[in-house]
Amino acid sequence: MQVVHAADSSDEVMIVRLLGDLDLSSVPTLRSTGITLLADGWNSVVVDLAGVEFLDSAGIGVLIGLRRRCLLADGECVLAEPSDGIRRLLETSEVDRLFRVFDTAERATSSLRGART
Amino acid sequence: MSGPDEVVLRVPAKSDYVALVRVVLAAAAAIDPDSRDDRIDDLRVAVSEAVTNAVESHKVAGTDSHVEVRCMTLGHQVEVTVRDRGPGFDPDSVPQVPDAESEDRLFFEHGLGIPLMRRLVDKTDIETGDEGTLVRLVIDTSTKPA
Repeated sequence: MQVVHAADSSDEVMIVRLLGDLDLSSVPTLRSTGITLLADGWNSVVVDLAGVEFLDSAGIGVLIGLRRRCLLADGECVLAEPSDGIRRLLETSEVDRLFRVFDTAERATSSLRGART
Repeated sequence: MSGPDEVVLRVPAKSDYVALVRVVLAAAAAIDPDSRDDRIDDLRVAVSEAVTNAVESHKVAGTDSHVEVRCMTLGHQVEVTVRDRGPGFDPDSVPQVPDAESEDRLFFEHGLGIPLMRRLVDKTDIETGDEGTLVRLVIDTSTKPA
């Protein structure tokens, strides 16, 4: 899995784009990315799932950990653009009740602008 | 009448091989022309959970044994077994996933695999002991998800 991140145009929100399968093998990469972003002061994070082809509980676990770290830093973490299959898994696992899930990364980013502390 | 088609895999207990197993098994299950894409997706995730647990149990045990995966297809039914040589576990001690509204839920990064398997396939059996764990997943890939 590839992890690409960049700040949005307002420089308030970090957008993390995931490409590929989010499973046990990709957990260390995403976890370390999240820890680094928080250490650098980014506590408003959009995880763009548009490029995620597969997700399981190992991947869900690291997403939950990322949101917890953002909240502890007085920020927020939201999800964006899951495919129909990934959205169904988010519902089955009730993860859709833990995160706000947006249809587009733009809407997700807008929801966090102005929220950074 | 012919018996079930069987696919057998022996893979190293490494995280990089989890994807290989789910790709092969999903392809085997999709040979049935009546299989539904969403049910193949369910099987793919459930298999990934079982193999992930097997890989992690071998890590705990410090063994370099392979994980054995069998997939049998007959008609619309797919049965997958995943056998590991890990230390086993007490199924009754698996913690309950906290309610989504609970503050504890955000501290629950692990332990979702078995509950998710049970939700995704029609039947999940787990036999576990000192010599390892056998997970058996059964799914009819032609029927709508519950």
